[in-house]
Amino acid sequence: MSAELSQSSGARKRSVMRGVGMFLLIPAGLLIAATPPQVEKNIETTATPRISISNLSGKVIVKGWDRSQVHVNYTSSSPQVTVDTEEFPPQGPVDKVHFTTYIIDHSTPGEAATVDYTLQIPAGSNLEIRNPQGLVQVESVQGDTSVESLGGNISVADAGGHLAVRSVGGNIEIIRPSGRVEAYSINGSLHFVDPATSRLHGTTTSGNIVYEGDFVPGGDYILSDYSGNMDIVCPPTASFELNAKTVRGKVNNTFPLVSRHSSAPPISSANSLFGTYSTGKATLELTSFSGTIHIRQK
Amino acid sequence: MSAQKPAVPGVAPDTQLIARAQRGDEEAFTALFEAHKRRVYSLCLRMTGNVAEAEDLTQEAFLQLFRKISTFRGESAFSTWLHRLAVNVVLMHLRKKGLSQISLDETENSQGDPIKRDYGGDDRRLVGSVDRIALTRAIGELPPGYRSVFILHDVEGYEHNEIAEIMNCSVGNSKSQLHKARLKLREWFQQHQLQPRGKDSTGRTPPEGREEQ
Amino acid sequence: MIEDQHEEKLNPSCREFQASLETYLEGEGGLPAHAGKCPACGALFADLALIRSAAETWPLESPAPRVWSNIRARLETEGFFREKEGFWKRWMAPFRLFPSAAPIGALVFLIVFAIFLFSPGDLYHQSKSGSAPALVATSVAPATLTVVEANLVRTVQEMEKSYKTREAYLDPAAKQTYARGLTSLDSSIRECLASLQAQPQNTLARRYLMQAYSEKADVLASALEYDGR
Repeated sequence: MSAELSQSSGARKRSVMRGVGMFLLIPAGLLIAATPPQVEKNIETTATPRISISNLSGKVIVKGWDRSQVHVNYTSSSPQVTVDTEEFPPQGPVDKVHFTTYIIDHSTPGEAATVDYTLQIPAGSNLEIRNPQGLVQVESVQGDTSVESLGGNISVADAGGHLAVRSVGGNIEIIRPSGRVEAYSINGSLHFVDPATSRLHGTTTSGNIVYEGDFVPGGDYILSDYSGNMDIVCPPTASFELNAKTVRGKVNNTFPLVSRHSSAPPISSANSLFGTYSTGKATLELTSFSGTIHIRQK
Repeated sequence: MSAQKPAVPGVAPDTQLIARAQRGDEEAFTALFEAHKRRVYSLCLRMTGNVAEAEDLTQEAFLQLFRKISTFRGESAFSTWLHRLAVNVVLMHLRKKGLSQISLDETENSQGDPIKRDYGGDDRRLVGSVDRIALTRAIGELPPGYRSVFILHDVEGYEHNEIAEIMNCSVGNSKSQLHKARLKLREWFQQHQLQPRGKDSTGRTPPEGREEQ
Repeated sequence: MIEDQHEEKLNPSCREFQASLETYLEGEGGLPAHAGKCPACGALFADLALIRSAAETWPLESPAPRVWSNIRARLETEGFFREKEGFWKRWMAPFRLFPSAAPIGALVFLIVFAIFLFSPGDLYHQSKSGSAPALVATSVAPATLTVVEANLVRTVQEMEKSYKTREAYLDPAAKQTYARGLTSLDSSIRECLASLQAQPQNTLARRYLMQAYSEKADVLASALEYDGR
């Protein structure tokens, strides 16, 4: 009897253990099966390769580093979405790398066709990114950089070469650029922080523009918006020649300018301000149709 | 390649349309598209088995064609040129998707399930004719490499030496893949169609109204 | 493997026939008597011939109308279509002396247009010497659109028509973003036109108007090319 009891007790224990095991294993299995496909690669490159990323939706994060190597890590949301990598030349250190996201099954809904990229690339790379939806972040790339999005926000920091950023609906943030800058958005806002460049052109239709920082002597800074407000915040040590014009908006300035009076007929219903601050080393051209332009000291 | 289809009466021949298209005549572009769209689209659809992909590839093929139309000098038939371009567009697309094509060291198992060969056994025949829907389904289930060769040879009329050049394989490989593709299709039809005398593959007479198992 | 075992059991006639099946299907050489004697080989040959025949006569299908719409829109954006020539121009075509002037003329037009669009200080010309500026009025355009401006407006209208046919096929997020962008630009166009109506000499408003049309052309071109990326 006791043997029977101990046998049945042992059997019960085993079945309990099995149950616990299943309880743990099944979710683990499901978790592994549900984990989106992730790929990590290292590609040996020259010191100044051309890198391009053509994505559909998702985050794209790129940082420059001091190795002649591209380290990429991408995660796709679905096995029906894949990334094609092309490297040129086929042998030896690569000079061009293209990453392209493809949908294998076109019935995959748009929100499921997401690939998140994280890359480290040689700092001297030339970079081109197309990412219609999703955040793009670029940091410390010294070559020429071009970023295009449809609705995603774009943030670029410490770019060295020619920087061209375009979006239809995304906000654009550019921090400490040292090369020429062109930034365009239709509905998004533009934010420039401490530019060290002498050529900067920013345009938005309905977004706002904020410029925080100094101006490089001899530099040209052209900022234009339509209905948004413009806020220029610079140190008292700045030196610029100002052309600020609006059609229906206003110009508010706190810098003591040497005003320039014109004898030409004024633009009716426009509020404009022309003048020089300090020695007028940089040129600021600010235009807004109906927004307010603020120029103030930090 | 198979013989070209006869010209549609009342439609300007390709040479005239091409000359007008080279001068930027929009109507000529439209007419060229209308004249060749079905063949190009059908090729793309049969090779990919997917309507959206086929539409994209058709667009891509015609765009490439129209962009290069100024370089067309009439050395070959226009339709041949267009068709070859469309085939290249489709194959490039399939390669980019990483779908297996013919490899030089092709083995039985590298293209899906092993093919059941009829060696002196079953004498069942396929019934009557193979309808379009069944053919579409059957070809859609072929492995990509078999499908490409079957479509290029039996549907589009390319010769084996042309297929070998297009797909970068040997003539022998092309012939072998075609044969395997046909055997696979036969196997599919045998599994999905009635046997002679109205019996299904189990030998039973199905209920009225059912044609396939 | 199972096939190897089958092949080993195969009688030599069947093996020989099936090894040459491809040749018989291609119509090279006559069909051997074995096909009539062996039910399995005969059935195999008949079936493969049937499949081949079905493939050869597989009817063609037509693509949806949107395929041509998309192609046409791309070709138009890329400038493949030329305006229809009037009777006089067609008649004069053989007498054209400077066929290569067309691209040069187009380039000059683009440069002039670009200068017009992007030149700063439409009405004011600032002296770099630091003295009081000499005001040099730029050529102030009349209240009505110039030929250049009218061409841009017409191009945008054509692109908008193409966009309307394509719009339905965009994914919802893209469609929403493009719609918002175009709405903002349309709003700015309306306001600029209202300003110009009230003040026809307002060159800043005119500049904004042309800038809005130009940006609208860019957005429409992007939407027409949009394929998900």
